Amino acid sequence: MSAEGLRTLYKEHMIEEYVVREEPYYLPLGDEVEVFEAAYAQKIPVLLKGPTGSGKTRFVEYMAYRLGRPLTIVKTRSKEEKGGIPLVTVACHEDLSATDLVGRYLLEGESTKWIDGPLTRAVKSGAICYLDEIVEARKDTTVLIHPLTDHRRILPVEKKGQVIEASGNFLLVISYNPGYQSALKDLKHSTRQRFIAIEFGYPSREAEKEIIAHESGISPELSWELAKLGEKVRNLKEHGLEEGVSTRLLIYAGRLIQEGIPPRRACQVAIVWSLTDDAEVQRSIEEVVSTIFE
Amino acid sequence: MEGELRQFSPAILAQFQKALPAAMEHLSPDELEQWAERGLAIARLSSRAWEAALEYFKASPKVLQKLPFADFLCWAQIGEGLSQQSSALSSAYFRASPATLPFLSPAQIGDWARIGKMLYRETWRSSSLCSQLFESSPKLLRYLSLEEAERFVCFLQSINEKSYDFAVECLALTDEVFPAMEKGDRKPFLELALLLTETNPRDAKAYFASGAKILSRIGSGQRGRFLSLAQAIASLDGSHTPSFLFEGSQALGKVDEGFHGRLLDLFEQLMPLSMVAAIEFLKSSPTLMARIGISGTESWFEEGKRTLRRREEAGKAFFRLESSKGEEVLERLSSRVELDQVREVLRMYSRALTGRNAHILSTENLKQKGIGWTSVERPSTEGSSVYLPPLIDRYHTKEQNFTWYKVMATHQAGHLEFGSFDFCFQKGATLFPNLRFELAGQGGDSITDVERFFDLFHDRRLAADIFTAVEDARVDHLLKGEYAGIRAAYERIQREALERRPPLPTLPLREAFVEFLVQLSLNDIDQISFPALLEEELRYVAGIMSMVKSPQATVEDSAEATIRLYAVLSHIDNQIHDGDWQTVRLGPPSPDELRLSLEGDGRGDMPQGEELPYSSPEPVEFRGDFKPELVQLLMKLREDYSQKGGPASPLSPEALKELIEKSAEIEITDLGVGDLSAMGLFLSNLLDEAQKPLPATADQERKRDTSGKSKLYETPLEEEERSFLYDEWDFRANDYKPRWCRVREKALAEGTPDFFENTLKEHSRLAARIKRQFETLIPELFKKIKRLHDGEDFDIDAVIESMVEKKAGVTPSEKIYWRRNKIERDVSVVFLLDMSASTSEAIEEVRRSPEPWELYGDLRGYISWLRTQHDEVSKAKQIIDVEKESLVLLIGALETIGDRYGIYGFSGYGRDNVEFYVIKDVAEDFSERVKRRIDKVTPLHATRMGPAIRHATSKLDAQDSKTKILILISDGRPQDHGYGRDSMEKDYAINDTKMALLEAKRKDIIPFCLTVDKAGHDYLKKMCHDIGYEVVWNIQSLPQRLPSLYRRLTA
Repeated sequence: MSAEGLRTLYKEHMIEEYVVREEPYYLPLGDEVEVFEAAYAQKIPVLLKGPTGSGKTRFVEYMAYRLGRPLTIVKTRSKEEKGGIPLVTVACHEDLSATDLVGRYLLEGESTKWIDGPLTRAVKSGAICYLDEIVEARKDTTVLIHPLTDHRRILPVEKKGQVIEASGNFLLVISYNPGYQSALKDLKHSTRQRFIAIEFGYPSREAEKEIIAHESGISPELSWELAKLGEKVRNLKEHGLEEGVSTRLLIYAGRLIQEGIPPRRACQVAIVWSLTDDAEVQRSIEEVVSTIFE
Repeated sequence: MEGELRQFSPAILAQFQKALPAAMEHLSPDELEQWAERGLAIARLSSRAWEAALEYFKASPKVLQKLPFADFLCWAQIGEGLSQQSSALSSAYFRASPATLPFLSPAQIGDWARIGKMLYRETWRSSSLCSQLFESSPKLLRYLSLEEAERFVCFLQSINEKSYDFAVECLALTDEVFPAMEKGDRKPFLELALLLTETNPRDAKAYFASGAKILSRIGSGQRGRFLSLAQAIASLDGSHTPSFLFEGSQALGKVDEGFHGRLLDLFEQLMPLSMVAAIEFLKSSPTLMARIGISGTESWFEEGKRTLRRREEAGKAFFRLESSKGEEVLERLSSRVELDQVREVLRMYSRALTGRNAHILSTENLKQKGIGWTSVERPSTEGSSVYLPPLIDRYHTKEQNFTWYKVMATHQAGHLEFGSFDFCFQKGATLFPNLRFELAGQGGDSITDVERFFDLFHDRRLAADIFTAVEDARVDHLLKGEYAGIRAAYERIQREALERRPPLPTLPLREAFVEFLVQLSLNDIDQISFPALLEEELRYVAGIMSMVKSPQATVEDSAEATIRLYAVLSHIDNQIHDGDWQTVRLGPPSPDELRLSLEGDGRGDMPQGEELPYSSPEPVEFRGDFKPELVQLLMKLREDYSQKGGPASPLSPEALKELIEKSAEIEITDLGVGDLSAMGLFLSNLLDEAQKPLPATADQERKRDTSGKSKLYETPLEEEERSFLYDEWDFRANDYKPRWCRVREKALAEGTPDFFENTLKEHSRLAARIKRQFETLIPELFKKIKRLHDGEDFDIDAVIESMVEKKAGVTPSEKIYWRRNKIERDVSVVFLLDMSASTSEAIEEVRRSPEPWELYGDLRGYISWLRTQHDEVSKAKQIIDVEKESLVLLIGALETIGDRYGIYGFSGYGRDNVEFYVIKDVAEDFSERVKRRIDKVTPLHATRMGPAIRHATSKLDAQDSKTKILILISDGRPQDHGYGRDSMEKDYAINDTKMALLEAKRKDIIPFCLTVDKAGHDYLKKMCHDIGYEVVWNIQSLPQRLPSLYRRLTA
């Protein structure tokens, strides 16, 4: 296969060049879009709170697309390619250290070479940098973002002895899920008070029905039933379940149904078994599923 | 002749003269002479023989009536023969004859006498027994053939050899035993009795005494078999016979007679394998039959037999229903569903549907509360919890029985979800014009909205019945609409309920109408048989009902519907209507039908008849009790209590009482209305219930934590005791005994903090040293880890090496980075303190005081020695004191390094009462209270270690620390009442403890046993196997030993 052929098989972007080109589906549940736009205009960092699968990541993608969309309609395709705000997403894990974000030296031949980390790249290129599940990361990362998130908007790179000023478009967005983390992993106040916070809850039954129907392509009736199931299962939060069922899982169930899997079975694999390993809770949810679906 | 008779005694002469006229009637003068001569001959035999002669004359007239003279002479001769041995015997014979002879042919008289004589041993006792036997003869022979009587006498004789008293008792019992027994059973019964005397006369007597009862429990066809089985058992090993006879028959008595044969078949199969198991099987049979029927029992039995063949003890435990396996197989075969098994599932299910904390409780709980609910079979709710029957055994499969539970729970959840109890008088209905507001006067003095609503009606009961039917219809309709998945099962159960409804024509008309409503609520009805006269009303009622079955309907609509239906129904006379019931077709309602005048008062064209008192329709089983008025009252009371911390002012007891008296939801029979004390009790129950905090659930508990001082919890709760059930390991059966021990957990009482403070003072140097040692344990927070694939920065050494390697042509290592890793000490530990009685033992003082004999002649010295002795006894340190001291020192150390730790004590008596005292809970912070609790650690009862370890394990298991340690501090081997087959058996307890420790190990907990028992090595080696243990030789060193041990374990 030729190199040309290979290139068409997958899309490869440099971190700072990844721009959301197609409008992601996002159903606003409140005024979060307006709030985010205002924050972006005023360069105020944003904290997204909410349970998993409630649309935080999708929201950031949507906002990146929306904000990057040129206000005036540009005719030529090449110009459109250049526009847009890059979106740098970093999923934080418990071993993620400041070095991973900022960059490090690598051995290359006889010498060492400095490689920028994703945060540095975002700062340089004026991207929206989205640190997902920030509390999971090591404590030193949270300290690192402090100078970026106040009036200074700078990123100190200790090892190189540099300070990088953030480009005008740069915005830091972090997310965290206040539900399941233990008190140990709570966000420090010195950190959290640098952000405005947008809370994400589960959508109402009607809104969720819309979302499920759109994302999975199943009939409105079925997606209504799935939304109903979602609502019922969420009643079990803290009564056997640590987290309610996410919209994402409901969509997965819908997609499986769309592919011809019987609804009860689809819910079992997409919802019941994903949510919990506790046999008793599983059985309870299955009973709810069998009560709702024929 | 008379002269000679007088020589013996004037009494005999008098008797002779009295008998003479009767004798003369029957006898010729010749015979008369022989008759008299016989008497005289008897009297002459011995000095006291005249007594026999007296009886002879006394009995003669009656005997002469029955026997021809030739036989009479025989009879007399036999008596004379007896008299030669003992006149008392002979007297008894003559005396008993008139009543006995009707049961005998003349030829049998001799046999009778011979049988009677069998017991005679020429002793006073035997002759007394013999006499008693003769006296009882008429009663005996009424029920026994002569042959059977002989067996009985053999039995008596045999028992008499062991105990005269037993024999007398048995003889006295014949009155009761034989009449109650069926004819054919008597012989085998006696044979067995005879056999039993050979092994154990006491058993034999007990068996004889309760024989009739035993046999009556066995099916008539199987009695002989039962007895012959007993004989077989007796001949094999007599010690099992009583338990077979008594407990076996008792068990069989609880089982339907038709199955006795099958059960005994099974029993017989088991007999050669293990007698004990066979009898245990019989004893378990009622439980088995009730749960899984005969075919299930047979499969269960086969499983048990296999187990028994493999391992005898396991088999026995299996048949005793004391093994997990037995229970498991039983559970698998059983179709019934117990609430306890599905409670959590149903709780979460209801929680999911309603979004409220619906607790699932057994209806028994609700009944016990005494607040108006009385049925155990019917489900209900009182607004906060859903009550369901304790077990369901309606269908043949588990699935169906569970579905029944689920439908019941769904219906009750439906009442909560669709707001049956949120009725608000002022809120408008969605489907009907509101008539309520016009009808209601000022009526503002009612407590709840439902009460106010029912106040609109003259006949509250009728209104309540209508409202129940309408509201149930609404809820069921909404449920079926909302939940497509359960619809099929729901409709099936509705259909089943419908089939059980009484036919309308059997009811008086008003009741027929209400019944029609109930049936309509269960199903849509197209056509129904009804009197033609009332067709208009019928259509109207059906129309109203079909309106309520709408997705928009609210509870207020149900109320409006009730007003309209009541208007119609209250005008229908409640009388039986004979004739002309015709089929009425019910189409969809036309608007006209719904416009029936509400003004119409009684239909003039109704045939006149006897008006019957109105009674409510039969409740629909799966729907159970619906008591909106009580529920609203309770909810209101609860709200008042939780807000104001006391009963709100507007709720006067009078108002409450009035509500309860008029409410149709409380059965008058349950609560004698005039009975003031019953009313008072009811009211106080109700208020108690309202004050009770709802059972806390996870999220409420969280709230409580944050709010801290909620009013509700300010009042000190009663000493909280929670109990937990644990299995116990039976090493003989190689299986767990399911739910065998009950651990009762409670906080230890609080004393003074003195012990704690004093210990620290006394051992201040040791305490300081331990603390220093522990401080060194606090780990460095960050540790630089070198040579990693990935890290914060280059590890210069590694980079250089790598470069060198590269230059040298060797593949360089890629591990050239370093990073800091945070190391957290993450330890949870539980100390389990043996608080058994033996810890009260004083420990030997190291300092030896002079022995008394050394003080010989030194009186002052002796007295002072006595005094010190006395002081020492009262002040001597006990083992437990040392244990406590060690703990105090350790607490200080643990607080230094910040490990999570819990301290618990355990003791108890018997498997049902393992006490588990919380001295410091793992989740609790160290406080003054802990200090005070330590003061109260005292020796109590026995040492059942297994369950205590299991409970401590479950506490540790709930912690998410990396290292979990369980340290057991004891002073001896585990022992408790019933902890082993008998009090001497030590292996059982040791094996159970070992298993409990192993279970802990399987849960990633490190168990460690510490004992101060010097003989500890012998059993600890067995008990701990590959688990760490240590015997502290010098108990005084425990306070030093424990901390250093702890350091070693957690390092």
